[in-house]
Amino acid sequence: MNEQADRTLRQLLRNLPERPAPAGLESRVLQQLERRRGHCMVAARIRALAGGRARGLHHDVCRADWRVATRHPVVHVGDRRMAASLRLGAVVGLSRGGGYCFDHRGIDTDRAHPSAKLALRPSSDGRRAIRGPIRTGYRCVPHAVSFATPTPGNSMTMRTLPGLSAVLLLLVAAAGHADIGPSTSADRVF
Amino acid sequence: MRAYQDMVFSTAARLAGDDAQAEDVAQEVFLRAYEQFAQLRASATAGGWLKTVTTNLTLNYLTRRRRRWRLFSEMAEDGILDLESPGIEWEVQDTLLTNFGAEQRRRLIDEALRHLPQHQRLPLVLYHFDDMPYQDIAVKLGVSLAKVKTDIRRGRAALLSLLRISGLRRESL
Repeated sequence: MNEQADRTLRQLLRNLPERPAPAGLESRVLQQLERRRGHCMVAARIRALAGGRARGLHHDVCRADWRVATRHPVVHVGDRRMAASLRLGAVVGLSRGGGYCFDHRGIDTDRAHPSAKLALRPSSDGRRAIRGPIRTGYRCVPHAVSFATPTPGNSMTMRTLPGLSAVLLLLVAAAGHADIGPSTSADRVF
Repeated sequence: MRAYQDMVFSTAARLAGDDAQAEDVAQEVFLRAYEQFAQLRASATAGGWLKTVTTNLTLNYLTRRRRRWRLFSEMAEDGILDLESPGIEWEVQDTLLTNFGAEQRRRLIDEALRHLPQHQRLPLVLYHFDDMPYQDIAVKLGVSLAKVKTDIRRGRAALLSLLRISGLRRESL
């Protein structure tokens, strides 16, 4: 290596100015703080409603690793196939639309797990799931409520869903943290 | 937050080599800072705390990603330009990038950093931007001291090559 050039490079690196942070970083942080508070509140109410069985909220989009989901035995599942696999009771989710999960304390569980950037992506016919990294465009999507219909073969879901989900949807909507929509947030992400 | 956001973002972006991930890390850093707002507010070492948390979070993220996406990373690293090849030895003038303004120079260097392989970029950034001693870098990255030194040296050599290429390209525009 050219020693003189190396010295020059070291000098450049030493004096290199900081990169400007992207615009809106501060507002996104504040937004997320608000959302955590909101998720905590809604999670607590859902937990109470579910008699302690539902311990938190779980996000579907980035949650391809189901072992994590089972450690948080509730229930944000926007994808009915995943719901069936998880054998979850309350198949209703509060979603921020990709990239973030909150447990019952409002802690963003994505940041604690390597599956954070995985997506379970329904194909256009809704039958296949494609795993892959989410790259961009997944932040700052409005809240959505994902709503999975009862799955044959999952008796727990069949039994608990109708009454509970209706109340949950009302709760979430009343809390003002969500728009109610028929699809999973994965649709919005992709 | 305004006072530190450039520093936090820069640290994360230069380590991660990926702006989207750096933004995520920066968000997470400030969320943690808000959790500890009472202590940090009065602390004279808030900047240092933020920098350390940023570095650790970025490295954690990179470690997780490396484990998970080892296969993809290896494929990506089979790039067109083999930066580690000992055969590549560009002649670089000592007037490196002097024709450029400070902002343009920063952009070129940041862009070049992004193209370094991770095992060179990490120790190089920790050494040159975080002023971390070799030994600490070795511990942090879980590699030998000799490897840290070699990677930093090779990283700088690769960076020079990349800067020369991008500098020439810009000049010819």
